[in-house]
Amino acid sequence: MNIYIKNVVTIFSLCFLISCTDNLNFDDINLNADPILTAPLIYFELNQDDFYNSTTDTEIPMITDTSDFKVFKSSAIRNDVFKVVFDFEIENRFDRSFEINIVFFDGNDNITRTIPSFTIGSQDLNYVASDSIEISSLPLFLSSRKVRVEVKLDPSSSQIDPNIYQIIKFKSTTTLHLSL
Amino acid sequence: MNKLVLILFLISVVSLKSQQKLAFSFGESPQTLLLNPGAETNFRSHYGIPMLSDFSFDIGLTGFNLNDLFSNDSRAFKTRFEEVLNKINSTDYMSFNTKIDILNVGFRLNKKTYLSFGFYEELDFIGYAPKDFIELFYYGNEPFLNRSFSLSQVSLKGDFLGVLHAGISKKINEKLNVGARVKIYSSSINIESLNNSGTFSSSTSNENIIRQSLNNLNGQVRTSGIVDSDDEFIDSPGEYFSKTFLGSNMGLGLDFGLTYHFTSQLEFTASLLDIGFIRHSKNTKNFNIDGNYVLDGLNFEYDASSLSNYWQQVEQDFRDRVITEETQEAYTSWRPMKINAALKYSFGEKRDKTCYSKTHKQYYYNAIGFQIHNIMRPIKPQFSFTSFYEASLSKKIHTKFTHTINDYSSIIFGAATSLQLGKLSVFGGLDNLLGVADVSTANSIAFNFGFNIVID
Repeated sequence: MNIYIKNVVTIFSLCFLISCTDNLNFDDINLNADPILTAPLIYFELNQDDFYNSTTDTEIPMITDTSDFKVFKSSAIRNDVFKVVFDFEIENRFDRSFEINIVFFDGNDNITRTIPSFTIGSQDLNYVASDSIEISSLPLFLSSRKVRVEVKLDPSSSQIDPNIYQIIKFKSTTTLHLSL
Repeated sequence: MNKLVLILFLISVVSLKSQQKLAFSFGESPQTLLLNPGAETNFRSHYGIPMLSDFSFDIGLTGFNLNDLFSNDSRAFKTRFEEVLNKINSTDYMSFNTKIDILNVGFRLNKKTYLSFGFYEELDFIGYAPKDFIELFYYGNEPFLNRSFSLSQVSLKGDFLGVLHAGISKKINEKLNVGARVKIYSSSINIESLNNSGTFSSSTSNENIIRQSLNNLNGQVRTSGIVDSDDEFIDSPGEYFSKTFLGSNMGLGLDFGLTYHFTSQLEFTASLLDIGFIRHSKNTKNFNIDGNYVLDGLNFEYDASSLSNYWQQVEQDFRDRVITEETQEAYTSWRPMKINAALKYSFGEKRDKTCYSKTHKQYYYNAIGFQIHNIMRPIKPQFSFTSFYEASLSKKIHTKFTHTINDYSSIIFGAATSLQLGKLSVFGGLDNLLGVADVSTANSIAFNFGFNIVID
């Protein structure tokens, strides 16, 4: 064996023998993911005739609709969510102002959360609102299973005219802040 | 001292690490036949030592290394994880392959023909980094409005199988030697999710503030061997091993290879391995998802005459449009075909070797060359280019030193040795010598060794 080969062999041998991973730390593996999930919630478009009873020829001052709200049926969500944010965008082309009331109920129709109502002025085309719920302050909210949205026209001397096409556009999202 | 250094080297190489491609076109060891059925053999017969005749292990990771994730510094693990997540892309992957030869025997049929057969077990896995979905899971969709998350990034394939094989190496003339090997695959476990397509996105919308869309979703996960006939998961390791020998899901494959001498000093070798398939018809469990869906939210209608359960409508609409199903359908999986080729130029001092038939063959003490190694993988082939230098220390001790460029790194140095201790032929090799010094910063480590009795 010549001197060159001997040197190469020695270097390789040392490489193998000193092979190490000492500078790694496997004790500090603490990975908390904090995903933020956002999804569309409720949307609708109402015309003036939605507030008009053609049979009695009278204005309907308030309309409501309700849906199941099953976001928190999932135990994975219930266990990991720490904050819920609702965002609203409303376009009011009516010549009337109106009020929106959003209420959440549990499976027994007990109120779990009432979002503070908001009033949208006439011809306000860019109304935005938001409501944030810290679960630690309101754990009851996790038992919500239904949501009701009430649209209530404010009293006015100006009457609804179903023959004029004017709309209210309502959009909303739910954003869940999770800690996994 | 010389002997001590030599022994140290051999123990290190043989007992630690290397890679199968090091064995290609090297040393005329019996293992070469598994990498190139057309390799030349100059022995009368060989008998692999059961379980030790050929063992290889190869693990690799692209995009990051262990040090990136687990370095012992003051940064929080979360910070390091996010840096790695930012660094990787969807073509990065983790691959793992290990083979253990259970039985390997060969004998010379006549002056020109050598037969070999045996049985080995193989565990093979490759999984690509579905970066989109890792980010979606980790950060959520809120920070990524108007971004499409692609299901096509989900791609993985894993196999645990046994391979019964028989091969023939035949000398056509002084220049050409060809060979072939037939393989019967017995799959114990197969898991694969390939050719997925479609996207998920959350985008701004006119209907609502945002819209969620599943576009052209088409995904599947196919498995065989992980559930029994009662659809219960198999938890007995013994059952997994027993199915590798002529078990329930069988396949067929072929290897081809050749050795060609342009001159006495210039040699070309090439092989195509695992051109084959496995038909999975028993103990299969597959999951499919297919469809399109657009979610704008719950569309309140305020129709007092017809109250609607909007949530239920959305759920039903989703089920109608996005079909998910679990099936037990049979399917075919393709083996990852390998392509090897090497061009070698021998030079230096000549040596003679007495072969099986008392003939003499001339060798050179040194050789240089290059070789390519390519594995067909789901997203793109795993390609390696290796340049090498071979040196014979004596008639019975041969060494090979390599430099490889591949997906893992452009500075992978390897070493291999093949030696004859009486009738015992020993082969060992290690790839990524630099990586071994600190495994934490290495993207790949591979080793290969084998012990065979060779009768000249």
